[in-house]
Amino acid sequence: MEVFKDLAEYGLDLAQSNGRCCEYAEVRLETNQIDTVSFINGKLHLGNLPIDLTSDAFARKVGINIRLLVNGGMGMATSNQLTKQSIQDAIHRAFKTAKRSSSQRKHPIKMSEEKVYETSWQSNYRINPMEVSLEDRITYIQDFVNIFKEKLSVEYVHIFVLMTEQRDTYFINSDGSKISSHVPRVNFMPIIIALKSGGQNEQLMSNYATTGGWEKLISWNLKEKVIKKVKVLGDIITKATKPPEGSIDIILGPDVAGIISHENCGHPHEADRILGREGAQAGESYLKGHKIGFKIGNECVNVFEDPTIPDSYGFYLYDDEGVKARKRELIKNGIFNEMLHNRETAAIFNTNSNASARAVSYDREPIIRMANTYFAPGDYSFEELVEDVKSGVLMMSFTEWNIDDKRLQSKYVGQEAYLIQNGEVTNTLLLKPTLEISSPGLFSSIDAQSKKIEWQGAFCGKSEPGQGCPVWTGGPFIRLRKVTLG
Amino acid sequence: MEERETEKLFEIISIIKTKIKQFCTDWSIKGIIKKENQIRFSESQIDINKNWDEIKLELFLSQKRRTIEITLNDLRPFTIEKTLNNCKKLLNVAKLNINYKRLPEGPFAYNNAIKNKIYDKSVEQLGEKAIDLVEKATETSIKEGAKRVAGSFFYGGTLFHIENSIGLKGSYKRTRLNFRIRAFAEDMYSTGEALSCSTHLNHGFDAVGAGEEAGRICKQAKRGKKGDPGVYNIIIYPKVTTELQAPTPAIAMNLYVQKMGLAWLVGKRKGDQIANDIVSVWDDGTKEYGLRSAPFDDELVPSKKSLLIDNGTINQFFTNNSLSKKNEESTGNAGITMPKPTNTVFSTGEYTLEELMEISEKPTILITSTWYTRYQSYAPPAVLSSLPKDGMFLVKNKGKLLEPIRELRINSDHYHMLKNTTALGKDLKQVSTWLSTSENTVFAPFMLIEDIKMSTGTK
Repeated sequence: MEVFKDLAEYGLDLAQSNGRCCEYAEVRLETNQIDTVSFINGKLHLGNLPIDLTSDAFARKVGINIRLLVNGGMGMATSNQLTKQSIQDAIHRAFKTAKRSSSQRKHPIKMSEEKVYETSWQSNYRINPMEVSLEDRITYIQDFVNIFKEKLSVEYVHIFVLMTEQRDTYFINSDGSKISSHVPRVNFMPIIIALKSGGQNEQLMSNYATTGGWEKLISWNLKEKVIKKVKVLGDIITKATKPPEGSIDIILGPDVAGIISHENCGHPHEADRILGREGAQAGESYLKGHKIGFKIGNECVNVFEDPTIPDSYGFYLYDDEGVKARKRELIKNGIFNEMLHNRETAAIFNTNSNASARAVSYDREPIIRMANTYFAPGDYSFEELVEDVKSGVLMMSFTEWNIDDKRLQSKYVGQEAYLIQNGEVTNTLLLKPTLEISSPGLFSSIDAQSKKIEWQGAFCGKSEPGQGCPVWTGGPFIRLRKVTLG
Repeated sequence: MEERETEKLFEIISIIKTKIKQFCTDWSIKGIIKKENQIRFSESQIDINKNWDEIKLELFLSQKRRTIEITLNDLRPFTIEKTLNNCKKLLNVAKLNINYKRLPEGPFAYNNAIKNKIYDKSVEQLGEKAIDLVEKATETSIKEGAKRVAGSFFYGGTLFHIENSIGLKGSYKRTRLNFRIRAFAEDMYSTGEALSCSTHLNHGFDAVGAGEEAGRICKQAKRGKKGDPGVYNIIIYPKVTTELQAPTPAIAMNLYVQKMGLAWLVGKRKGDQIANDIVSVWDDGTKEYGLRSAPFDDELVPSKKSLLIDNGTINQFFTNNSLSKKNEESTGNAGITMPKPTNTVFSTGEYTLEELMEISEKPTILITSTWYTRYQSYAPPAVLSSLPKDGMFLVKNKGKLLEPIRELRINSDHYHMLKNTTALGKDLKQVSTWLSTSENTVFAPFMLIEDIKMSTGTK
């Protein structure tokens, strides 16, 4: 990386010389490494997996990304050939395309004024997952594979994916910022399908992910958790019964709360969606046309976003536009409080960026992304939430889910779900209780949360070409009153 | 492609070959030089103009059937050295890959005529004309009834070169045009989307036509009301097949996925009925102007047109050399360890869209676009839901009136949808949609699918 910093500086100087007049220029040099070790039904696999589980199982990438703002038009050029010639060509292409774009725009793109930083940062870890030997990774996964060597009540398909990666960047811009970063990540993904003859089946996909090093993954002692989930899957397809119908109270577990915080709150708060920039891709937002201060839900509802949470999968301290990261309070006391901004959208809204610009590799533009999205904890214990429910459902986890492209109409199908009766969680497992509800309907049904947050890793999909961005989603238990299950 | 880049590619391939021959029994190197562009636009303005210039290599390495695949785009000499040393260590520890037997021997005869049908020099030289196309499509869409538009236009070319330890080698170039436009009315809920894709500017590519179609759908979608949940017949646009129908031939009929148990055709075999008998589907790597067409696959086996579903019954799964049975040939779909689809091509019927609306007897919904398809499980029957977006219409009076509706969700499974496909349109359209479930390129007609449950939010 050090060797190529001179090339980055060369590129930035070139972008602003020889008669080129840019309002803004940035150069991002980046290396990405990925290693993925998988076991498929007990057999080791060192390669890609289908159905979008991995597409680059082992990869080594390096490249440069140049963005130029010329006369209010934006151009981007990338190259992995790190020579002065290729950088000259990239600058020329970015400049030419930015200038041509500007002639087509009615309103010029502007960037907000932000502080300048010269710094370097990294995630906090002791053992870099990329440096763990293949033997140790195989041993780690084998421990989970061995679960299925025992006699089990039903048949299972089991796939375990262990993905380690490392991203190193060097970012400089025409404002004077110079920022280096180093972030290794690890993600352990069990994909398990319980099968019963006669066709019933139940599928689990989980992500246990962190930037806190290999030691953090080990400290989670996941085997017991996975054993329990395997048993629950088997119980669901053999014992689960029809869920209650009509208007009931429902308590959602942290897994479900987390995905809701991401889908029903995080995404519609992205300023580029609100402004229409993702209109042909991930869609827009039901918050378009509403101003900050608009009432979204009950006063107890708080949903926050924070890249700086230690060990989190979405961790960063400066975003990919050089802005210092901080916590963002998206919904505060039930009110639309803050959007997620990059420098372009911040300029439109006459505010400052809150450091939401992320790119997943050198060949992708930085766009507004979440990092770690969560429902804030409340004042209740789990027991207190339950004891005030006469008849209801506890939805611990979810299986199928989706949401419309305005982030308004959502669906969550429960996986591990139990009947609550007279203030107690029973042992009655329920088969696929389905919550199909609008975002305002959901946020205005929440009346209480428990005190402790739990987290789940995920990859968030957005943009074109697609960028699967590492994030955490999280929350406590949350209680909804009088909702109808489908 | 510039000469210096191809020279650099071959230089790097030569260095890698020298190293991997020392520790691999089988190997394959796929070199890729990509020069591509994208214009992204929204609010009827260009947001950003992007340009990619990349040389990368995809390596398959085997040491007595212990295998690894790695993508290398960091081409610095010390990285190549370090990576290959690391691969050598990994192979020493790796276990036997039972899904890999050997690379095919050849020699093969190739249909080189396909090379002219997938490469169009004028696409690589499009330059500023690309912006003109975006502007024209935008104007047309607005003239048709849109207030504003958003979209994306990819264009460019890629060189592929493969050589392997058997001694086989080959190269080809392929160009790509992928244009998508979404039209919005005054409110953001009335929208229409259309796309156009091809390898050639003058064959099957019509950006302005896509703009017209998106604007027309958007205008028709105005003043839509919330739809009533229930069971309906649905008529789907070709691009909806990438979410609802194409995953079966493109994913579940991948023999590797079948063997993993991660697909909804587990337990099914040749001769089993999985679709209505009017439905046939091919995987066709030879399709002219197809975005996934090529003269050969990653094992340098000549591309083929393989019949996967024959009048509703399974004819074959698509494979590579290792997964093919002893007395059967590869279908030309390598991926050396995992096959991959090329172009998924559906059969056609005899109906226009208007005629499909006329013949559909139950309450019918016309669906122009869907997204966010999610499964409860990949195991049979692959229960899923998918969200229509853009214009969705209740078909009234045999299609003479289209009433715009909103906020309905498709709930079904792949078995049901294929078996209940009772009529097909007469024309194929090439479609490749954003983050689609099937991920590859599909040639599909309009389709009538019966008895689909549509649901809506309860609060």
